[in-house]
Amino acid sequence: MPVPLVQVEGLRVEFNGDAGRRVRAVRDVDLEVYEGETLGLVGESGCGKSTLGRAMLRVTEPTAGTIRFLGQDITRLRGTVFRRTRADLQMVFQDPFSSLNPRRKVADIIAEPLRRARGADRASAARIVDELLDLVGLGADAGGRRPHEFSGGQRQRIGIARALAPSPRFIVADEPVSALDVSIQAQIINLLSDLARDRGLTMLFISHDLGVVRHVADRVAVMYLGQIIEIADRDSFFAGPAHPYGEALLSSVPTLSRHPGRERIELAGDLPDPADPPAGCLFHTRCRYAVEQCRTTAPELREVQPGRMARCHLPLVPVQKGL
Amino acid sequence: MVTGTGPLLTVRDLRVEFDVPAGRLPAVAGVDLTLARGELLALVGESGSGKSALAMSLVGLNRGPRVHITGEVEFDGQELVSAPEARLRKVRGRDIVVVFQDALAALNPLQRVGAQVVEMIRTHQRVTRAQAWRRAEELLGDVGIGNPQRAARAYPHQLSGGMRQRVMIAIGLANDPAVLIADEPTTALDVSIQAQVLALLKRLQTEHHTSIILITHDLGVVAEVADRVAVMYAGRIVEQGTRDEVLFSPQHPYTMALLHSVPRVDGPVGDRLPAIAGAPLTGVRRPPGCAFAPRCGFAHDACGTPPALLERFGKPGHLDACVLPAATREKASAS
Repeated sequence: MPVPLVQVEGLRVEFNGDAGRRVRAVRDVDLEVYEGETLGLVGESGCGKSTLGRAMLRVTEPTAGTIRFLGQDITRLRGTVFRRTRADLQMVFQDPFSSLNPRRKVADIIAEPLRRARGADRASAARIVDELLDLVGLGADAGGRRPHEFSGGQRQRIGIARALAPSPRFIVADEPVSALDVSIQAQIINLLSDLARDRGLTMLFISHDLGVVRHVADRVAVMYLGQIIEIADRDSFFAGPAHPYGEALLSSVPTLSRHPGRERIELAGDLPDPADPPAGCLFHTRCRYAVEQCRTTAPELREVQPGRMARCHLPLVPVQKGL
Repeated sequence: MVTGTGPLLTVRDLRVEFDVPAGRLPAVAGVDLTLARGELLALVGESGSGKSALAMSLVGLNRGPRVHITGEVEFDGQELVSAPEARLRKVRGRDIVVVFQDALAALNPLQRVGAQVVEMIRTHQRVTRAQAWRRAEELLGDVGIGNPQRAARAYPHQLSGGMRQRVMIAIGLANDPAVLIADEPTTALDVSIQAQVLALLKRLQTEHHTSIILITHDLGVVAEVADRVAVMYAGRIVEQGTRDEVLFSPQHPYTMALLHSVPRVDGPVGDRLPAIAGAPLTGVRRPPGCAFAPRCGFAHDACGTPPALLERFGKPGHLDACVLPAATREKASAS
């Protein structure tokens, strides 16, 4: 049985929306990330995947719920204790440029979390920075330059080196390759996969790109309107999603095949207003399989096959009894 | 009205150079291209490859004191590169329209969507405001907007990203253009919306016989909709042919490497993605020979001379700019 490194229970994030309405961006999410795995978190814009990722590190403070890291609830940690724990939890952002201070040298950018969170002295920080720059394929002489001197792909390598600096156990990577060209994207995907494997990192990899997720993730979680609607291991998901939304999403991805024989499932209508979600299943307004029960009763996220969860009254895979 | 049989648009040795602090940046470094009537041509390339600069220079949208455009763009018997601005303005919006990626930036935030379509119609057609408004609603319906009457009265920020992109296309179609140039029209959109916009482009092509140049970096999108494909690298077209030729029997090592590096949702998934080492050339200085040679695993001395875009393997219309012999390319394709 795999061990959960991070356990999220009932996590809720609310924002103040227009006209004083509360918008629930993340709706009571339960999620476990196992030690050493890369969990891909997918969904369309506005589904809450980035907010969930940020809330798991308390970059955005959750409104309710608990986040356990190695069994310890980190939601109420403050001050020095939280700072020390935070060093184990790092983030890689989509836009490597806006997340790097343009006025500072690369070596200082990378050394900062190391010195602040781990209390490393100057000499040992400098040594680790050199090692990290080497590890991410930039070479130690990159440390003396500033972020604008680097291309997009190189800047993402800097962002990765910075995240790795305090030797974290868990990394949330939020669309880390979305701003990069495909040839560079492949380099960064390979780098992240190598690092995850060699350093035993656990990673939440957030992306709207299902192709990218397929190449980095061990398991896949799908979000819709702030809820997780499916969790499955990578190959099961790509062989055929259990949730109708996952099915429609996967069918919409343009593929590089000579004869695109797949059926394209069109998602009718627009995404419902997150401040005024539909009753019953949140997806029923766009679901081609919806029945009366879906309009009235909200389905629970339940195990439909060993290790496979779906939030659907009528999942698209045979439900195994006695789970 | 556009008549005749030959290609609708012919581009000869088009060059676009920008004055930058470091010198002259060759964004487009000599492109020859034709667009046939009613075809959908995909222009593929990575950032900085020159695909957008090329598209904009076709109708002089990037003219300016720091931009040097030379070469020829022949459309319906007119030469556009040397055409005065007043004449180009008549061509733009009526015969050739460009639809951009960022619909929110391209739309006027203070004006109702319907009024923006009306304005485009009345710039080129003599119709009353009421007639134009009815036509605007029709166009919004044509591009798949569910309630066109309501959308026409909405302001851009009240619409979703997919709706706004459809509004942009509706504005583009206002005068039933012969050529629609769509610059990354689906890049900012979610895949479910992207599928709808691509279906719309395909419908325009088949039902309205609109010729379309689709600029994209997404090879999956190309496979879905393109008839013909031109691949750009560092300001030049390096390969050109039908969709099947370029995507499924590529000849240029760059096309091959690019296709290999796409993370796909189907097919085998290996341990690593075959990446292309290094980064594209983006500076003012370019080597005299093949621009891809520094990243090409098969480059040798012959790659130091400028490669022409030629038909090399006896397939008419399938051109590439690589001097490597067939045997070497087979190796490249297998790696």
